Amino acid sequence: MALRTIREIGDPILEKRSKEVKEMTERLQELIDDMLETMYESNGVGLAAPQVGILKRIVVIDVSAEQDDPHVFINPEIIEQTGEQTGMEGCLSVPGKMGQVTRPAYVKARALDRDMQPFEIEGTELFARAMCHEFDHLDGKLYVEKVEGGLVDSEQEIEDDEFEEEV
Amino acid sequence: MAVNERDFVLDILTEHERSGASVSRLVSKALDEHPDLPLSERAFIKRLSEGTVERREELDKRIRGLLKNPDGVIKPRVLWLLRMSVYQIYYMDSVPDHAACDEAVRILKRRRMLEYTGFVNGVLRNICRQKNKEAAVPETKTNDAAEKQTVAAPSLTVPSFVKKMWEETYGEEETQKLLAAMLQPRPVCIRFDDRIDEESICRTIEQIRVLGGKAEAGRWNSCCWYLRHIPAVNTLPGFREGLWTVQDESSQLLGLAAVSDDPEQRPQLIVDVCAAPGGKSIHLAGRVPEAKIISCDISSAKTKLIRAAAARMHCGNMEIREQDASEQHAELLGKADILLCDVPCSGLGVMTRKRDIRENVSPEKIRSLISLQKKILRASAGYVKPGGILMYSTCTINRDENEKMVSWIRRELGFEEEELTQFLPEGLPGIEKGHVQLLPHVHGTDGFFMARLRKPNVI
Repeated sequence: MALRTIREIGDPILEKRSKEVKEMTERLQELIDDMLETMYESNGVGLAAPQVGILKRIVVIDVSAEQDDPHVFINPEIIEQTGEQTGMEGCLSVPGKMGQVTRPAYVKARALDRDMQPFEIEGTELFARAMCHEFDHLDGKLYVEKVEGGLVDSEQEIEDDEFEEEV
Repeated sequence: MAVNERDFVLDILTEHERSGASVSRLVSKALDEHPDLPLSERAFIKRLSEGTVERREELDKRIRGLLKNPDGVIKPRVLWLLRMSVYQIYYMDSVPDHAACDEAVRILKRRRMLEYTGFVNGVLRNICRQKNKEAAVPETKTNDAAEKQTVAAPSLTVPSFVKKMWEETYGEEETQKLLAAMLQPRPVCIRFDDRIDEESICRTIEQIRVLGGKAEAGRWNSCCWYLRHIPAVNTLPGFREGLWTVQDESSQLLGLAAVSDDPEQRPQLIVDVCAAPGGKSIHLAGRVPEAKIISCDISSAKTKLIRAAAARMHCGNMEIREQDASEQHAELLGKADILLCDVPCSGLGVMTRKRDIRENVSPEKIRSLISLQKKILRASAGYVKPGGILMYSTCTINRDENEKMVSWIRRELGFEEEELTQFLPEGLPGIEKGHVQLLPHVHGTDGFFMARLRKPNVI
């Protein structure tokens, strides 16, 4: 296993559509392991293959607090979605920023697992949000297009004179 | 008798007025210079000095009310002697009324101020009579507004802009209750370490009671106890052993709100950027022994305090750093599961304990504190891991530093409030989603504010 470099916003590969996986290979198994390791290492809860520069329809997600519940999605599609949730989200490919995005409250998805066996899975809250966010990557879409009210920057220090504003 | 404790107090009070030095500092100085004074006299000097300044306005009203010429000029030393004597008559049950009068006269004689003995004695005798009369009047009979005012519960005197601000937020009636509650003498509040079992707690409390201390269980936290009638805390059973530490119950609640009991949600790294004297860091260090706590504060004097407390409380999992919270330290970026920002604040919630605050607070000072608070938040928010927690807290009662700061954190830093009811004791009033303002007259704690905010996940 190895850590992969995460592509950042501005990299054209993030704007491209990824291709369906036709058959599982040793190299793809290795990619999946690397994606999981990279995701955990970066404190992310999800990662899509194009984020590490591979245009394949592969996504990994783990929203558990203990980070011991990984899900691998190959060629995923959303087959049902209801409701709305509005909240902040960030993206490993857009470092140091976050923004408010409205997503479905409930999502049901269909995909293949890493043995190419089909499965269906449902999610709410962060899991539903993560599925929508990652699957968007496979179509070359970033959450920044969906942000309401602008991106927020929380890791940058700012100059003293900016503090004069009223609360 | 070598020294008379009332002489000390009179000197402290006149010096306080002359030099503007804070009473608590003058008391500490006087006590330090006389290490041989027994504990009971030390406590007496502290309480009488601080209490007299605390209730100065009210005492003056009582004194002036008895004078033929209420606006007449009284020599400062004589006036302070009257005030401290009236304080003893009204507020110190341990001093019989006649003793307060006699002692005042004796002080005048010792200081060769014989010309005032008649005046002082006369005023104080009248005060005693007045007090007995008040005690005899049933409260229900007071319909007359003027009379009501003399019987109304005394309350803490605060700068008028603070009072106005509170009245705007809470209304006049609530503000009156708040001020009255703030004047109540506060017991010493202690917290037993989370690693101490119930049996050891009971045994220690029993030992404190044997020494004559009164101990009462905390209202909200099961590890919290309130102590009264005790000698210096560092002489009490369990202190040196590190079984417990002094921490207000409000601040203890922050520890509960920061880390739940859920074994699935154990933090690994906690960063406390304004940690001195270390209460919150130490609480969490005991609460999550497997986690690492990085406790920072700006000066070596402050980190020394933290280090001493951490050692006494057996917190081997704390790393103490001397660093400025308003500067960003890149190596901490994205590392903390929980960040504590207990920022410097106007301290309006602890004015009872820290009298200097009341004398020095101003709108300008609060504005510059708010700037500093934002600067600290800006510099530190990046330490929180995606999906991690920021605990913001102050020991003040001021919407600009509290509720409005939470809105600012949400808007500018992108954090989201996380429902506090699941972390705090059942029935705790005042929780509004992810924040709560604790109030002396509602919660029985210091005035304190806390907010639990989550940094969004990266996905």
